[in-house]
Amino acid sequence: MNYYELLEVDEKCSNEIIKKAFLQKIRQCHPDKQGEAKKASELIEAYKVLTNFRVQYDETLKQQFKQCFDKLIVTCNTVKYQCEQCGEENEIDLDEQINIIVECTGCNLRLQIYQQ
Amino acid sequence: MVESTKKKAIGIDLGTTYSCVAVYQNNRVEMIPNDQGFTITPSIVSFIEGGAAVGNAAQMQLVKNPKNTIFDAKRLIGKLMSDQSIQKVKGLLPFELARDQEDRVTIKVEEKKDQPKSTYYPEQISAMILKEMKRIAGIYLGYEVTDAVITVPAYFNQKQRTATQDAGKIAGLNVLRIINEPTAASLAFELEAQSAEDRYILIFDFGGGTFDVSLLSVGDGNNQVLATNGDTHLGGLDIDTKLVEYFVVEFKKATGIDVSMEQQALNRIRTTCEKVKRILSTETETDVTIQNLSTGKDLDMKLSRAKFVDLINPILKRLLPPIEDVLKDANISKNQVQEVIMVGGSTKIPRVRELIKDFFGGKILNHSINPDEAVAAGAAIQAAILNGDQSKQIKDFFLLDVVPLSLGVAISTGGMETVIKRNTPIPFEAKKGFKTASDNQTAAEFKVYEGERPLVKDNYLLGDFEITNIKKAPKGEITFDCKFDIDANGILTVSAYDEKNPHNQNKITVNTKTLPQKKIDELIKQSQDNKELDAVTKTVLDAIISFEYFCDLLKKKFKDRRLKFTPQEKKQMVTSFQQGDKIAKVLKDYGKTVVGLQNLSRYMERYHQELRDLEAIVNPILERVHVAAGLQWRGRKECAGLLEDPKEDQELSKTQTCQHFDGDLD
Repeated sequence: MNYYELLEVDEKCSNEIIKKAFLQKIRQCHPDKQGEAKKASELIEAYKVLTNFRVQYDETLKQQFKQCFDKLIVTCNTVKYQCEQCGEENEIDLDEQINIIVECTGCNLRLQIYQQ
Repeated sequence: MVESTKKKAIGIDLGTTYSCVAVYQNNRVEMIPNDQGFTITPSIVSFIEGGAAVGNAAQMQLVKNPKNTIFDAKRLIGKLMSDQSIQKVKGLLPFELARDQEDRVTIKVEEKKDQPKSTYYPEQISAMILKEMKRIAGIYLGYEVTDAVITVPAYFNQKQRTATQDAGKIAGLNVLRIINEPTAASLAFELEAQSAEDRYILIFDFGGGTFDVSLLSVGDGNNQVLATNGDTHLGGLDIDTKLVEYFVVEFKKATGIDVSMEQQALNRIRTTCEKVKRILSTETETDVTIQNLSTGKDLDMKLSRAKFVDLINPILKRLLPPIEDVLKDANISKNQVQEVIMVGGSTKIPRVRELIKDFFGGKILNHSINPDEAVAAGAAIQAAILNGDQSKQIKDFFLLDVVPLSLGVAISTGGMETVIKRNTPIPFEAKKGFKTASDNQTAAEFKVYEGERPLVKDNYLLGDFEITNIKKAPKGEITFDCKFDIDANGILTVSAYDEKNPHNQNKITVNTKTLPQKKIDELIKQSQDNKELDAVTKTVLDAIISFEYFCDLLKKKFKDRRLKFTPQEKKQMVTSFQQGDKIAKVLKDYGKTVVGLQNLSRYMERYHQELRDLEAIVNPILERVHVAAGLQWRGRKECAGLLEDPKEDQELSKTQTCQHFDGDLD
């Protein structure tokens, strides 16, 4: 799951919305509100990166996608690729979908695939 | 709605000079008064024969028993003797500091005459103050309180935080949370403001011993700290010290007498300076008079507000850089700050207010919250949040704080590898990998530092640990995963393990060089064992001190040049003094024999009887001379801190204003 997905915001949303989403989420999982410190820590990491290094982070997301995309093997209606993060081999049916999000079955790294 | 029967958790502001306790109940914050009816209690512990006195009773001992009266424990807690800040103040404190084998600061006091001095850790002194606050709260609430939130300056480092938490444990408290003082003040402010609108507020917290600045983003119940900065060794005490230095020089100029080594004279000047400072907050000039300061000479001079500002200018200069830093860290311009909230006793100084107002381009500062009580009020709110208070106001409240200083590990070049950057929200955990730096390395040392400088030698060492039995390998081949984990209290645990061999020496928690658990357990036990005895000792000590204090008051009145006594009255007064001193001694000796509660009530009866007998003689005389001089004799009311006499009107012993009798100032 990437940081945008963790905070449940759109990748193109404003900084203001990121902040609002972060506050709303963290107040549910902060130890003060009987939440889990680990979950709070993950949200903080996401928030920190998206507020301070958003441009760089977006770049890495693109990069990750590109790297994977280069290695995609497309045959008819299936896409085969090896996950960049964990090495797991994945096979996806494309069907009729134009844009799909795929998730690696090994580590949950998600990619968005656009059909040209 | 029925108030929950669950025991309340209290909020304690453990201040450098004063402490304060509050509780959230009946949908509001209630400040808890002490035995004398004041909501602030001096953070002072005095060791006198037979035990330790805390609070108002201890404050009275400052001048009388300077060597065994401990103030400023907050600035000693969690410190090493070799720390620069300790070396600087060591000579200025009237009591003796020493070090233990680990270089930790200890305090030496004389508990019994002609016996070797006892050693106390600052944690124990703070624990005594916390215990007193716990006791006061217990009386107010009608049951024993155990859960508490304790505040610390936002800029307190790891050791100081851990040590404060330990002090709470020693005091028999279950410390729910350590929270930052300016953050607490913000909670108190926001609960009042109840605004849904998002805005930036700056808390300027300038207290007795420490200075903090925090910038928050608030609104809709959220209180998010964006950045914090400050100085843990800057406060009202430093202002007092500047004044003391000035008067010592002036006194020497006027009389040729150097009192810089006379502890008692210095403490008398210090007590006076504190008052001078307060007076100059409202007046533009004041007389400073201390009768018979040394070898029969009086200190007698004037001090104007302008001169006062001039003297404290070096201190004032240190107030602005932290504000600039928080704005920079949070990436916010000063125009965006909607509200500047002033907290802490030292913000009452007009020049301090002007300075901040000017900095913010003439912005009106917010004084809507009580600067002395706001921090404890906020702690009480946080205590209610953590205690699961179900009232609507509390349920919707949320606080997100940050870590004040960057945390990292020393690398082989002597540089600091930051693992968690300052102003990161907490709780937070971060991992960093480290590689071996040389071939066939068999052990790796981790030194954990706190601070902002690029080289570790300029930062603060928190502790270290080692991973041994590493398999021999070329350099860089073995990696360690180092995990920094900061909990919601802002307290850090560091662990590291060898990736190739995770079962080898994994998870080692940093030794922060605060008191080891074993020692804390021992102190907790000690403190619990003496519970009943402590209560008895406290009452007896307070009785002795207040009796002596009343006698001192009489002596001072006798010397007051405005009061004209007839020869007959003079004779009666002198007889009363002698009688008073004798009774004080009897009470002291009798006090040593008091062991149980049964005994205690008999003792207190005797104390009140003796006091009444003495009053019967002196009251009419003093009444007369006061009226003749156009003054008013308010009896024992003039010495705040006298114990309540159950046989008298309650009104009498509960003074409303915070007057502190000393008599040196007219």
